[in-house]
Amino acid sequence: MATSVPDEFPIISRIRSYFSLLRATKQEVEQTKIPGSGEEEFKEFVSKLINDLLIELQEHIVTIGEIEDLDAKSTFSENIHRSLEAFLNWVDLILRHCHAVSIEMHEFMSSILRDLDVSDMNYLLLSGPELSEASLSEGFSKLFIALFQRACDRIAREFPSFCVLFIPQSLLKNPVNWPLCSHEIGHMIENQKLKIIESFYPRPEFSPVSTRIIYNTQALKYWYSKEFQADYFATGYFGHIFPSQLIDNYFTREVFILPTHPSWEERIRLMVEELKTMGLEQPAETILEKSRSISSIKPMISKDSLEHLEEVLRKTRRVLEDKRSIYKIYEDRLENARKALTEFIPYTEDVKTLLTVAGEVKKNLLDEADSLEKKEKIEDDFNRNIKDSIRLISLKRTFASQHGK
Amino acid sequence: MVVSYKKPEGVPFIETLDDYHNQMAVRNLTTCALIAIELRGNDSERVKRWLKGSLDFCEKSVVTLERLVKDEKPTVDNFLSKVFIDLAITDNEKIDMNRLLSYKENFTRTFDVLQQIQRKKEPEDIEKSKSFLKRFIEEVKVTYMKTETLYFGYLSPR
Repeated sequence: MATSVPDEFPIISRIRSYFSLLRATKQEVEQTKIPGSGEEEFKEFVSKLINDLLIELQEHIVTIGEIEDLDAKSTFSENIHRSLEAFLNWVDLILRHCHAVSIEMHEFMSSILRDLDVSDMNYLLLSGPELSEASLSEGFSKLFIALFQRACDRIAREFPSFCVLFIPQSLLKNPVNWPLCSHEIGHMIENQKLKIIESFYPRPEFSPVSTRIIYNTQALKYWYSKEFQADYFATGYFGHIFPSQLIDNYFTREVFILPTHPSWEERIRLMVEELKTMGLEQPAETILEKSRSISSIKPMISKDSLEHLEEVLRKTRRVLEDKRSIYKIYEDRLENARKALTEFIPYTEDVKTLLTVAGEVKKNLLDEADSLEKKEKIEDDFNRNIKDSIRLISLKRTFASQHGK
Repeated sequence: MVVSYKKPEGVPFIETLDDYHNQMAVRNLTTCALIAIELRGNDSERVKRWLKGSLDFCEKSVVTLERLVKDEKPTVDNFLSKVFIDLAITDNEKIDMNRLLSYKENFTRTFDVLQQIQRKKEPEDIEKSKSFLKRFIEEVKVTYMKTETLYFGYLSPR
């Protein structure tokens, strides 16, 4: 009587279970609507990775049959298990958390990237506990290295800088503060397109956040330059509203600022200098005044030790200038925006003007309300109006580009 | 208010992700070195690939560890050194240099073993290398156990 060969070990049957899991995940990703411009690229990314993983899993089953040492077999199995489990959980996280990001936030991001002519960036927006940018490509590469080398090589070859931007729920609900995201956008653009800093300092293979570890100076120079550059980018693009909101954040502590970032004092000084260069003397003074009560922790290295920072900033500024994206104040526009927002009418000219005045108009409206209920109602209506405005600006812009205006 | 960040209770969210990925990379690379030794004599392309990758990994580890033990105050410069320092850091925030030295000796031995395998010789010290690699993987696992809990805690469905 013919008998089927039983699995040599439970190990093989556990690994086999990943075939159906991976195929199901691939199918789920294909069928799920993922908001934002990264949808197609992400689906292709996951689909190709899973194809590679399936091929390599098949090879691993053969390998397990060849290993004699049971401990080695188990260790091999464990690593396959942990790598794939992490990958599948990431995909699941993305599928769940991408829907918490509103269409208006996507439009906001797209409008900035369109201004800078980098609409082809590979990114996803997810809700997350901290405003931060993380490289999915680097994370997956480390999960797959050696064990799933085919997938790892694919990432290096075809998807070297796919990233995710985590945005906290409170920020998602509060469009007035969305200019804060422009700092992270600065990081994204540097990582994927500009690569200015890595032409001066080698890019470290780990994130710049540990407070426990002593970093070497080159790594610190890379990260500090990146932070200064992102501040410079955000201030160049959004003007004084970015440093102003960043300082607000010092007090609300809504967005976690890592202690390995440059000191507040140096960051603010750089942004104030930039505002002055942009001809925004008065806002620069206001920012300086506003920042007086901020206490600064001594940075790990000083700004002066960044011998290439000036050039990094000069090159970054040139990118903004080339794309005509340096912030300028147009008093008449600001006034129109103030008027519209005060009357709860959408302002549909441009996002920068809209968000420059949104904070002050909102504050004035809230100051006038005499009860908590009224304040809450005003806040809701106001935020809705800002989001409507962003959507309408985007629509107008799309319409204009389609009709050659 | 000034807070000393010298010994924080936890690490920021992004670092948890990064720490987990770093230690997985090191565990994968070490596991492949173990498998390359285990499957010595197997001439398949797959095993040759692992052997080559493992030689590269062991060489990089030796170079990294050499630098770490030479430095009076070792600093992190790549993901390998990040993991080595995490493993060697003691409760009082000192770096256990003997531990780093022992890693260096063992990775050097493993590199020699892998080289002999590549030259199709029957290497000595196979069992010592295998036992080191297994122990090292366990040490990495234990060091990052809390990280793993936090990592999957964040990624798991709610």
